[in-house]
Amino acid sequence: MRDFEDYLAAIQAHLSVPGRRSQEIVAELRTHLQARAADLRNAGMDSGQAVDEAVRGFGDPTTLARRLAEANGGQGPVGPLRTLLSLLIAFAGLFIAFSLVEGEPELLQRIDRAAAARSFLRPHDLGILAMILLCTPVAPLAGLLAGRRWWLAATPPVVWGITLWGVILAELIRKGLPLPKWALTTEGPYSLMLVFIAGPLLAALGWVGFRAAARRGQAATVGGVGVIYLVGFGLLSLLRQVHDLVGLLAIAGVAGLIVAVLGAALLWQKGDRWRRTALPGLGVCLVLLALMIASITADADQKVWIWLVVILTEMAMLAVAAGLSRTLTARMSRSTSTQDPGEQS
Amino acid sequence: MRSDPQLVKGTVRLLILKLLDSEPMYGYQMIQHLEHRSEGYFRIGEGALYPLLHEMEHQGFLRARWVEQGGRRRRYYRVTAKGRKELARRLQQWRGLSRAVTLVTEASHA
Repeated sequence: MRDFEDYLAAIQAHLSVPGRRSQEIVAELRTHLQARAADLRNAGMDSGQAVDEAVRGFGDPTTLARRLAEANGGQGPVGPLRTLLSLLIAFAGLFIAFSLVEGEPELLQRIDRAAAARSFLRPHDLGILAMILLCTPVAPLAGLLAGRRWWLAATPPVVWGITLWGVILAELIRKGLPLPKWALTTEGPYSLMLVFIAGPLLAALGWVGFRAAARRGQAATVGGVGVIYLVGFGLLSLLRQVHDLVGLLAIAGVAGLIVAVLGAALLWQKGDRWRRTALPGLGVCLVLLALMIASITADADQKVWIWLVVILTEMAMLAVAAGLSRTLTARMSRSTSTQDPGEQS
Repeated sequence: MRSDPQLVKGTVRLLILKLLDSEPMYGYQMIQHLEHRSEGYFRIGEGALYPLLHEMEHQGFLRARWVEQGGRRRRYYRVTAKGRKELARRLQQWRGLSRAVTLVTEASHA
């Protein structure tokens, strides 16, 4: 009987569903194992063999736990909340990091002056370095809160950090390569480079993530959230550096289009609900656009509230992205795993 | 004769719904009944059965409750109204497929 418990403990260890449901599932499997082993013993098998045979019928505990978790809707209501909370922490951490850099605290100013005196790095380069240094610890911090899905919360900040490293690399290459003028300006190169470097990178990540959903649903979640997360953040970054109305309209329009088309294209691959996916992206971008227009004439106090709403809007976008990718994951996983139970028959 | 997994694929939901439509059963009982009624053709693995049962429960096709009998608690599944509609839909699909396959295979022997 000890073998049952070891086997069941292995399943429970990998079963990412709320505690009470997890206990219920294990109890159900236990009654099955006991009945099966009893029948095998009655048929003449010795006790040890009967236990082994009964356990063998269930297969690998990790695989079974994953299938059971998927069938039971993943982590249940607690899981998505924790995931959302961890994303919130990650986002807040990034926002604080950017605020520190943009606010140019005394320490950074001193570093800037020292760098300028040596003509080694420009202030913006140091700003980016500081962002990387500040962003990177956000990942494990958010991951600690996210528990088993630490990588989900950790991925966006890490990708963001990698992207920034890409910007620095591009800046270094710039010194030896004839890049177009837009890539050379110091006023908005990071935003522009973000679009051109992070855009394709994240689109590829999202694509690979959703493609992988057929086998590994969690990869899809990372891909989906990562794409929309950084598209949203890129949008915020762009809007903070452009101050004329035409520029705002153009950038918000393009960013809205990216989010909407990306989401629609991903679902169009599965043949349904692509319109429903496009609308939240467009809606969020319209809200951001309206807020940014309002911020042009707002005073300092009003801007604080506007930025707060901007952050909340982007968090809503993350929630939509997380929900969307979870839905897609569940649907795609079902189509390849649980619709094929005959494999073990 | 052992079942061909490719042939069985997609029919297990139908079989489970049909089985539970007659009476509520627990998992082990379902496996035994399917094997018995199919004269040994269907032997569904436990590792596939429970995720499928839970998914169908999650989708609202089945409802489960614990029942204590003879000192043992077992989780019995029964078909819901939504599950009966799904059963009717799957039966219709299966009959269509079965008829079409029969038509083609018998024509090839003619």
